[in-house]
Amino acid sequence: MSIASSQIQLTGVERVLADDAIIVSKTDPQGRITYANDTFLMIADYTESEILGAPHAILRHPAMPRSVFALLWQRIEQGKEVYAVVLNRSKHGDHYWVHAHVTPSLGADGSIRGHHSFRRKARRSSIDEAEKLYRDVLAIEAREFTKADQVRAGLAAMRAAFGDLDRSYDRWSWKAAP
Amino acid sequence: MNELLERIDATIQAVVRGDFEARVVPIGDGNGAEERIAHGLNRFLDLVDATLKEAHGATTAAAHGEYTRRPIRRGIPGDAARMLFAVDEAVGVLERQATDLELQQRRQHEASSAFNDQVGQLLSQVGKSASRLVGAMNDLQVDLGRSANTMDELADEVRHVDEHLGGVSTATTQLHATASEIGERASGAEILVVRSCDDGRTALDRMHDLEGSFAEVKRSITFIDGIARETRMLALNATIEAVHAGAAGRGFGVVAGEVKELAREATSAMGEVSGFLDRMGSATKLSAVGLGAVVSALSEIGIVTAGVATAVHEQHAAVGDLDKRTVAVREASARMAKRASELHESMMQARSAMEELARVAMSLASEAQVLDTASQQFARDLATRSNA
Repeated sequence: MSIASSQIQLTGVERVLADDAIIVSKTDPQGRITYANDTFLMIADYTESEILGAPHAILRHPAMPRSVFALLWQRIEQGKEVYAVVLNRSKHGDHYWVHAHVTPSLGADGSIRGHHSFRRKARRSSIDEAEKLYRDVLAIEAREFTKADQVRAGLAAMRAAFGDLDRSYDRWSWKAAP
Repeated sequence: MNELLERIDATIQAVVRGDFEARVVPIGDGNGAEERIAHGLNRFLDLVDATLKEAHGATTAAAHGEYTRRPIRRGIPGDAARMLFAVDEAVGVLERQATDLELQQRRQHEASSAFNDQVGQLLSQVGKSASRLVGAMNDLQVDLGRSANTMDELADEVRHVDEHLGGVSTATTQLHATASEIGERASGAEILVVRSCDDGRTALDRMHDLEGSFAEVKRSITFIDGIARETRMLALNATIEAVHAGAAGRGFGVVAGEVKELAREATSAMGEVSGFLDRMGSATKLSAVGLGAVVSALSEIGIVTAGVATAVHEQHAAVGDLDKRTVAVREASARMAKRASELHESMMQARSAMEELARVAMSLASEAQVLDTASQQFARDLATRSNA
């Protein structure tokens, strides 16, 4: 992650996506942004030239647990589509909740040549559940010092909450779809 | 052609080749017609891409039995949205069918599990019964073997009895013949005794007649003796007279003397005859007494002989009956021997039938076990399939 914690500014202002809005972004296998649609640029307050080549983690909000992303990437690496309720941060520190749908972009040979993400407005009820869940998981992660330990502890907490992460977390996330 | 137009062209070419992930990147910050076209193309491709991904995601999930993942139509307009709606409906139909199928499978599984349990129990019972049957068969075979041996022994015994009865029959036949002969002899003896008795009585009558004759002879002798005495007296008188007559009478005296002598001799002979006759009479009397005893003894013998003859006849009849009975017993024992032999044969057949039955029961037991295993495997397969 190229953004140091000190640089993260938060305004506490929530931006809300329009009902029909779809944020689209693409990354290379290393997670660098290769495409962002105009909805993306608008809600995240970036220009095209600012965002292209930037790590996707530039959108990361500090309230998001590491383990949620670890879980998403685990599953995407397996070639599966994933969805999740994610809190993103705009360039100037505002935040917005999305229902993210991420799929691997496969090359002609079946290898992953990048990732594709659609994000829509998440349901409010799911946002409320996610806020509580992520707060708890984040607190558990915060007890650990290394990233690896944080991810391990966070995944353990998520597993405790959902039981079968593969299916139950998917379904829970799915309920957040608009 | 400027760079942006070339990128637009390249993007269109890529999409035409099938790469719906292609986008016009970068567009730049300008707001000219080319930028607007590029943004429009990207938006268009985003919609197409989103529609494809939603349709793909929902149908792939449904194909894996996950029906909660439905195509998101939010933000997708027009025909693309209608297409996703159709996909959504199709997934819904699949879900209902899957639910129905699951329910049906669960019911079927429950039914087949129950059936399987019952069949399993039955098969287990069949197996146990077959095992017990095999055990019983084996016991029965052993028993039959023993019975067959006993039958053999019995047949031997019957043969021995038959042999003995053969001896008895021969003896009885001989006894019968002997008894018949004795009977005949006894009858003959009886006749002879009766005849002897009759003869004895006739002899006794004759003796009594003889006694009478003796008495008549004695009377005649006494008469003759009287005549001889008178003759002697006359001769004595004649002698005396002759003496008186002298010489003339001498011749006469000689004759008279001779007559006297003859008369004396006659008297003497008569006395001898009479004594002889007396002795004869006494002997005859004694003989008659003895003959009477003989006759009465013969009479008794006759009675006893008759009794013996009757007894012998009865014995003869009894022996004949015994002979018949012995023959009947022999026939019965022969039949019994035949029955024993048949029984033995039947037992041997029963024994081989038992062996066959035991083999069948044994294979039944193993079949039941195989079937039970198969049925359990079937139940497991069914459970696995319903869980899958």
